[in-house]
Amino acid sequence: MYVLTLAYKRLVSRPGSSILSVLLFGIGVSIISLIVLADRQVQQSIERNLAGIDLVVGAKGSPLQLILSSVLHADYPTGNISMQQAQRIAEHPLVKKSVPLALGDSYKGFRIVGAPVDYPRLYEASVEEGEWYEHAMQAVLGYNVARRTGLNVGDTFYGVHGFQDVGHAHDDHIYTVTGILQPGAGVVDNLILTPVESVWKVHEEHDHREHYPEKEVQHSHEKNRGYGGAHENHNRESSTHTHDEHHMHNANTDAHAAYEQAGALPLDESSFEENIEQRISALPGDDPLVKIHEKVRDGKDISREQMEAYQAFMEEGRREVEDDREITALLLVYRSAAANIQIPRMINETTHMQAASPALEMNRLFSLLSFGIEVLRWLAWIIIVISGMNIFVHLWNTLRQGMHEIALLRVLGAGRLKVFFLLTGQGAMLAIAGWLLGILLSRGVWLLLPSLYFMPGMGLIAIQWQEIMLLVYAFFTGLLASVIPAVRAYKTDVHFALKQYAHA
Amino acid sequence: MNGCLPADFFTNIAKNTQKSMLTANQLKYEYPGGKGLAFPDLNCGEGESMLIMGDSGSGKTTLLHLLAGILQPVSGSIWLKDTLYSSLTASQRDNIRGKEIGMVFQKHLFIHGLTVIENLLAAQKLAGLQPDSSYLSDLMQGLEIYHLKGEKPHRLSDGEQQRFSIARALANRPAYILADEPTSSLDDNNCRRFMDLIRQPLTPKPVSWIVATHDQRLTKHFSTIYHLKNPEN
Repeated sequence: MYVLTLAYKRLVSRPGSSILSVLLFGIGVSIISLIVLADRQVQQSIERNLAGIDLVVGAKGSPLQLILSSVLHADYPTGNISMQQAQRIAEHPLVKKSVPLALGDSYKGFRIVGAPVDYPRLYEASVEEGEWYEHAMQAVLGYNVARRTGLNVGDTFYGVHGFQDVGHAHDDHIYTVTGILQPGAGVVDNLILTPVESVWKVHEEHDHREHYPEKEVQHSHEKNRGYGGAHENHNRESSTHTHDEHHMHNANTDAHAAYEQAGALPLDESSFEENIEQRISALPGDDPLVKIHEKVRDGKDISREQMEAYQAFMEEGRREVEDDREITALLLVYRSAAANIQIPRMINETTHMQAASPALEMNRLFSLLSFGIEVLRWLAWIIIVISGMNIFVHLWNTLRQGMHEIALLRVLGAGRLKVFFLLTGQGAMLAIAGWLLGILLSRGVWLLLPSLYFMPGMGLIAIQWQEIMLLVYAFFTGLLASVIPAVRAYKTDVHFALKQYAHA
Repeated sequence: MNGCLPADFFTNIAKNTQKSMLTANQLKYEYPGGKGLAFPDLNCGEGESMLIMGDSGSGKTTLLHLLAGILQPVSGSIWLKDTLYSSLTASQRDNIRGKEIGMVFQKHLFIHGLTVIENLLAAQKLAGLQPDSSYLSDLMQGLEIYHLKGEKPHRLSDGEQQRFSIARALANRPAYILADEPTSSLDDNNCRRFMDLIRQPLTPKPVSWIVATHDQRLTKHFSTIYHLKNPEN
């Protein structure tokens, strides 16, 4: 054991070379360790965040971008799609579950996601404090959001447009926090969830103004006047809709009823009622529908014909409200594997939307990245080999300059083997110290990196088995690098070394 | 790691031997180049000191290294107390040397990364002995280097290094100290001082000094002097 103390002392007495050796080794190890950590993190979080989603339907554009933006919440959305069109996909018999997402705003860098409660349930998220949202402008915070922003149940906040910290403030639409989620819900930890209606509400004022310019003042939209068109949602064809067009939609009533049955979309009741009121008041006073409306409002009996006419009127209003509606993406879970072939093709060929498979896109992303990672891995191994050589040179030079020291050790009673182990001990120590430094470096980078790139913190990660393997490699590299100097030390001709030293 | 001898092997030998000695008979050594050297027989009892005189090239260092078990003679025998060197394995010889023989060199040698006291402890540990700090403290005090115990040896003056070298040679309470030209780079004063130091009773049991030198100043201090002749070519 004393040999190891001696090995350590010998290294410390030459701090320059020793630090260089350890540093070089540490850099190589830290790169490999970081690759291991990143690989693990990416695999885990991707798997977790795909959450069984089979397909994402969104606006045309890069499929990878669509997946990144609506599944991993890491990129900008590709654009919006019509809720109505999306609903038709959702009705497909091969679709087991569909979840609409409406994105666009954020609060302090955390994305506000309009989605039904089904969405967080994909991630098995559960409310830790408070309860799920029920109405528009209520919000449930992911665990990290609550922790970082300090918002509590009952607090209010408003979003800004876009995903940056600064943007157009929607300060006339106040969200109220109704609940905070438990941690460990993957990407949902970093999201603010709210009903889709909230997002519509925040962004739809402008549409209303275009639709019902004459009502604008009564509807107290003055605040938003200066802010039209800044929003992609606002540039819609629907702004040119007329009542005639809406009448044509009656032909689709069956389909509509079908997706009502599928239990799809929760309508924002207030804007629906608003729509009915507006349309009633737009009718001439002697229109039969005005009378029926009054009767219904007062709870009076109406005939079957009147009821049918009123239902059609309401349906029309419902459609009108819905037709305008746009969402960012629709997440689908298939009922069977057969959907894999049919649905994406159907969407990509027959609609203006695109379908992207999270699994496929992630594979594509990894194959894009894997080349870079492979290069990095090779680089790291080259650095480790070079640091092995550096250890060899370091030990060799110290030995050459200090053969007399080895001779002295022998004179003092150290056997050949002891001297051999002294040198290999030095090599192994340098390598192990390098490994340790590398592990510390990688953990440091791992803790520091998220704060530099505004990513959620990833926390300390225990040592991985690959890193234990790396320690084994490091150990053997150290031994290998020191074998030649150790053999040289083992073979030291004490007599010759002492004589040479005396005459030097 | 240390040889296979039991720790009390040598003390037992010392107890069982009437008169412990370092003896060399008919020693011959041959350098790899083929140049041969023959040495006179040599007998050094416990506590006796002797001088080995000879010019450079006469084989003084070689003789010391043979006596220390560093080199192996081609013929002849060396006994340390009851032990015949040629009957030992290499690691047993290393072990015996560590425990029984101290060495002092003309140019001072030390382990670079260790302090004075650590160097002395290293001598004990490498010989497989229990570290004995109180003995080392006494030794350093006797040699007036106690105040330097925390210094690195290379920071010491020549005189201090000389005393440090003697302290290390004595660290394991050896029976013999082999000194190779210990005074040749010293002036007269320091040379006298060296002789005073090694005659000082620094250890509980007497130590035999076998000094190899060409320094004539030392002859008057030794009663036993061996002369080595230059080999005839």
